[in-house]
Amino acid sequence: MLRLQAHEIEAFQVDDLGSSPYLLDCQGVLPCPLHSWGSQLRPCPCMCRRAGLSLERFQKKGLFGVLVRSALPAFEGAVRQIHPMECAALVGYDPTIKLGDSTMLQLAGMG
Amino acid sequence: MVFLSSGPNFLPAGRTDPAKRLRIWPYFRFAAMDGLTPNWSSPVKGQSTSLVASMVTFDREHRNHLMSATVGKQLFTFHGRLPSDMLTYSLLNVEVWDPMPRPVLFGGTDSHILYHGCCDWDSLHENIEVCFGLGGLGLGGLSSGFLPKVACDVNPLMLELYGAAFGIPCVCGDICDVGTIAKIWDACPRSTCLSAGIACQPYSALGDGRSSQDPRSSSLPGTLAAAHYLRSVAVIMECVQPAQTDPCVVQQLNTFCKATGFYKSEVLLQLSNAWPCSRNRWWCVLTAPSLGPINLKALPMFQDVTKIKFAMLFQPSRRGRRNKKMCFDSKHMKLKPFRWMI
Repeated sequence: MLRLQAHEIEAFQVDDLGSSPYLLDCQGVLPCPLHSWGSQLRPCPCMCRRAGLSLERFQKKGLFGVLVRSALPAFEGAVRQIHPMECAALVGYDPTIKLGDSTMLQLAGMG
Repeated sequence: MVFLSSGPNFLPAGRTDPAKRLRIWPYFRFAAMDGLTPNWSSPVKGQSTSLVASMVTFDREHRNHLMSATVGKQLFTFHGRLPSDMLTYSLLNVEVWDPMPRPVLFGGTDSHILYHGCCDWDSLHENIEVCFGLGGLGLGGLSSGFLPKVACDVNPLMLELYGAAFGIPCVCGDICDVGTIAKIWDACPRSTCLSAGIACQPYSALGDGRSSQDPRSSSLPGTLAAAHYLRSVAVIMECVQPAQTDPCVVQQLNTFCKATGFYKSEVLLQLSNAWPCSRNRWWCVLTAPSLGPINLKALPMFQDVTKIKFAMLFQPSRRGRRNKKMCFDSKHMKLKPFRWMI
């Protein structure tokens, strides 16, 4: 679920080398998590929005999100959305708490 | 006749039709923050209102309780069954029967009667969390000794997440509805702390900053009203930084404090002072007059974990120096790496 879909890869400007301006910068700090992280181009998992944000909104406000590279061998180097527990650890939330199975919903809850 | 909500301390208020107990309660929405007390200057017969009152003269026949509103001290008469020897009573969605000369209120079928004894040292350290999202506020409260007792959110999906994690009673509903407040009271009928992560969208730039024009801004007056009706001794609220100076927020908080005598303390906490995350949050703590004001301090500056790389371990990848895999530093975070990345 955290893997980027084709249109998200294009929107986040992920190139063939797996580079993107939205990759998490380990030399910096985490931007303030938003409720729409992970779902700006999809329906919100909490059901507050049934579709991705509009093109007009993207043009007006921009696209937000944080991407990281997957550490799993099966997804070697693949870019994905930040995991909610990674996000939790960086916002001071206990990352060891089990919050159910929906990673996208948890990511939305971080914002 | 008063038709009370069911709960552990259910008190029937006279004869009621059993069939009516199966009705779904129509919810009453707060119109405005000044709804803490009725408009006594021009009450209208049949008008619904909500207020907190103390007993002046108890009527054993339950027809003519003389009561005094806690806000404004207006005397009025209440017709309906009430338990005796309680400090205060929250009369939610009651109707004006006779506006003059002394207002007479009575409980209708949609009314909820909550009653409150004195708080104790244990209940002072209990926390009701509303608008909780993932429950971060309650989690922080738990680490400070505040035990979460009830959680309330309008989103059932978030409620499932929270319930799975904390295992406490959860109430799904809009905090602006008196029915939701009654359900919270059913689960925890004591004076506790109340915490809320009020909706940030009305005040943040990315949420368009529509302030009171955004319907989600009702979470603040709803929270304040819930705290008032639940007789909370402290209200802990958190929101984005612009909420601190939003005229509507300031006005609502000042109105609440002026009406109830609560003290207001606020601070802007910048997480980046202590942890590699750019997250500025306005915190506001309202405390009952008996508790007094609480002095809040800004987060001190720490130089230990100023960048993400100090909190998480990045390993070089085979695909080149620009490719880095990320995982928690198991040595420092006490976690097995990659466990959740499935």
